[in-house]
Amino acid sequence: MKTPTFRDVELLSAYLDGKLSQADSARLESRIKVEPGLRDILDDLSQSRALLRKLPKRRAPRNFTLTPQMAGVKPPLPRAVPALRWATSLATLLLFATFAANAFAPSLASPSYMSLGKGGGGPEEALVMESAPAEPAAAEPAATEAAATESPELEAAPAVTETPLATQAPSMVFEPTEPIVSATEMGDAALQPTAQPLPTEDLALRNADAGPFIEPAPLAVPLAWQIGLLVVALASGGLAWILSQLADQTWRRKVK
Amino acid sequence: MDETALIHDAQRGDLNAFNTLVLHYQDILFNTAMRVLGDEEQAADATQEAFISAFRSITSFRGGSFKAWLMRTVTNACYDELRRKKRRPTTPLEPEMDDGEEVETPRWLADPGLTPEQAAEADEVEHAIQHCLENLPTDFRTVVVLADIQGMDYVEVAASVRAPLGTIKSRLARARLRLRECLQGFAELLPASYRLEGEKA
Repeated sequence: MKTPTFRDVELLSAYLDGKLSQADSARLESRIKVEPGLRDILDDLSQSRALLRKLPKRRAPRNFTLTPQMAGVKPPLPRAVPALRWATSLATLLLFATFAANAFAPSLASPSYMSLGKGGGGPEEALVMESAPAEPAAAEPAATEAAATESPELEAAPAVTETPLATQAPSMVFEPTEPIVSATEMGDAALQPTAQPLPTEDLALRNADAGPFIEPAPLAVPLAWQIGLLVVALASGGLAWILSQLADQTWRRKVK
Repeated sequence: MDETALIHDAQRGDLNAFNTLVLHYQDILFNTAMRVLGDEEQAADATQEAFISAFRSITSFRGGSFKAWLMRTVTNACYDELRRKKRRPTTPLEPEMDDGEEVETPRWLADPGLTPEQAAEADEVEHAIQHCLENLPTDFRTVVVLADIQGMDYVEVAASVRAPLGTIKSRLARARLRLRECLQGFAELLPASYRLEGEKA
């Protein structure tokens, strides 16, 4: 007697379920008639299947319907909410950018200040330029003083002294040549004492005149802008939150 | 119940439409999970997970048998449960040899210490069959549960477990054969009309 193979078992299982073609079914049926082993297996498979089909159907112990939370469903948001969220994000981002600009680039303040037509360069330069118009006035008394004493120290500030000397004492036009010579003979050392009093005097005058410009450098982004951005961020964020909460409550009431 | 319309609405996010489908299919899904897992609590968890997963991915359903599609989600949920069970093992599904190899024969299930009377006390035939089912390899078990317990067509079973038709036929034949061997150990529990060949002889 031929021992059934697993291929035979597969054919018998499919035959049992009516999944063989007519030709295959006919061939298998003719084999079953002459091979009792095949008949036994067919009976076993049939009985196993019948037992499984007889198993009681278990009913669900509870309902498995989904709640919105379980399904992860979110309420439909009002159209304004995404726009408000964008506004919040943008305003916050810009606010941080202004802080960064003020913290890391304070020098940005000066060029903007200079661009108003008051000169260029760094902050110190700006101060000097601001005080420059005061120089003639400051130098004038010094020049007259120097001219009165005919001191060679005057040569240290030729540009300033020439005009007053010329206007005040035309008869003394040729006289300055001597002190100039003597000043050059004296060398650079003679210039030192004259160079010092003038700047100190000048600085004192500058400090008196340039008082308002020695304030801390102005911020790259004004405080008002920052406050404005903060208000926009808070207002749009708060409004978006309120609108979404309202939508959520309405939606929950509907779902229930 | 207009299933197509409900599916369409559910795909648009209508939870009520989906819940109508849930009520229609929950018994079938729970029964399948119960037979695959053999534990009511785990089966309930797997069923719930399957419905949640089904709702979240319902837009990926492109027609065909919705039942088969749902069966796939519950089968996957059952596999996840079984993996969790394996991570927190209580009793191994398959006994192991000394060298760590799994013993494939289900004959060990016919517990020699378990008399027919004791087995009869443990809910008789149903428990015996469930016992044999649980000790089939998972792939075989799923196929036999879908085909023989749920009465699904081969094509639907193939769609549910994402396997070729030939594989389904082969797994089903093997599963039935192994069940027959296992159930012979419980022959005395079985109703006379369902006595197996070994018992009859």
